[in-house]
Amino acid sequence: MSTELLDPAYGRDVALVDLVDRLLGSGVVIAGDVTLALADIDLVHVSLRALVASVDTLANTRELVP
Amino acid sequence: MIHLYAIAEPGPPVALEELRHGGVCGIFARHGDREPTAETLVRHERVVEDLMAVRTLLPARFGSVLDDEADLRELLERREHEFAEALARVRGRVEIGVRARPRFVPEVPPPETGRAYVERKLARLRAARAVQDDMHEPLAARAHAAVARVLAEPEPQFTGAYLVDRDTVEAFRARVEKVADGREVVCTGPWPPYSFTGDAQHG
Repeated sequence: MSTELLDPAYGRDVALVDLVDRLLGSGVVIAGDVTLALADIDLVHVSLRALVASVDTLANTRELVP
Repeated sequence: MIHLYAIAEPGPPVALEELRHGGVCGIFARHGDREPTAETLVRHERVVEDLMAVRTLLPARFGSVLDDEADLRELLERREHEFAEALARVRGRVEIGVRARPRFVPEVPPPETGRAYVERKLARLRAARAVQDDMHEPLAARAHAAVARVLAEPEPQFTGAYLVDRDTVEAFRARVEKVADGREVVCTGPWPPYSFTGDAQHG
């Protein structure tokens, strides 16, 4: 689900960032030190750099839009 | 290895394995992704969302791995009460994400001094905070739970997460657009309740 914007790329990037923020920064934590290389780093910066090349892949999977 | 996808209330059978202790279940697989990439995260999320369609659950953080079922049972025993309470809070509910930019942020040249950097950052936080001041409270008032924060980088923005009843998602989205009042805003979701598991949050 997304709200249409003037800049569709912003919406797509936000969906990615929201996905990363949730899966890596939220949710039930079962260990004191979840072994993820990206944990506790600036997720917005790292996530966009690491994932921007995969936006097309994301677009081809089940969307977060209706 | 046990790859944990969610902590769930008991319910109809699912395609994954699960282990129950009292009123809480751990839903897992013996294999899974460890490295976070767009593909593995989307793949993981699909599994969780499919589970959420039939079970009340708390999504596990990506990469949550236990050695074996004995460890999972110990986890459920140790935290049964906490999980049961959190599950009751999210039953029938979903999470909506909201991100909004300020209408206008003054362009300033790239900071060349430490002080200029700090001033720019403070200005960005103020701009983002002004968005939060306008938007968060009216949205939180229509949610069962809400969290909000502001970011200065890479650009100023307000970001909120709201726990709402499943059948009010469209009405909530309409409310977000109204409250945004012309600002650029994106709603994402409906998500499993990542922000409302009761676990400590980062950032």
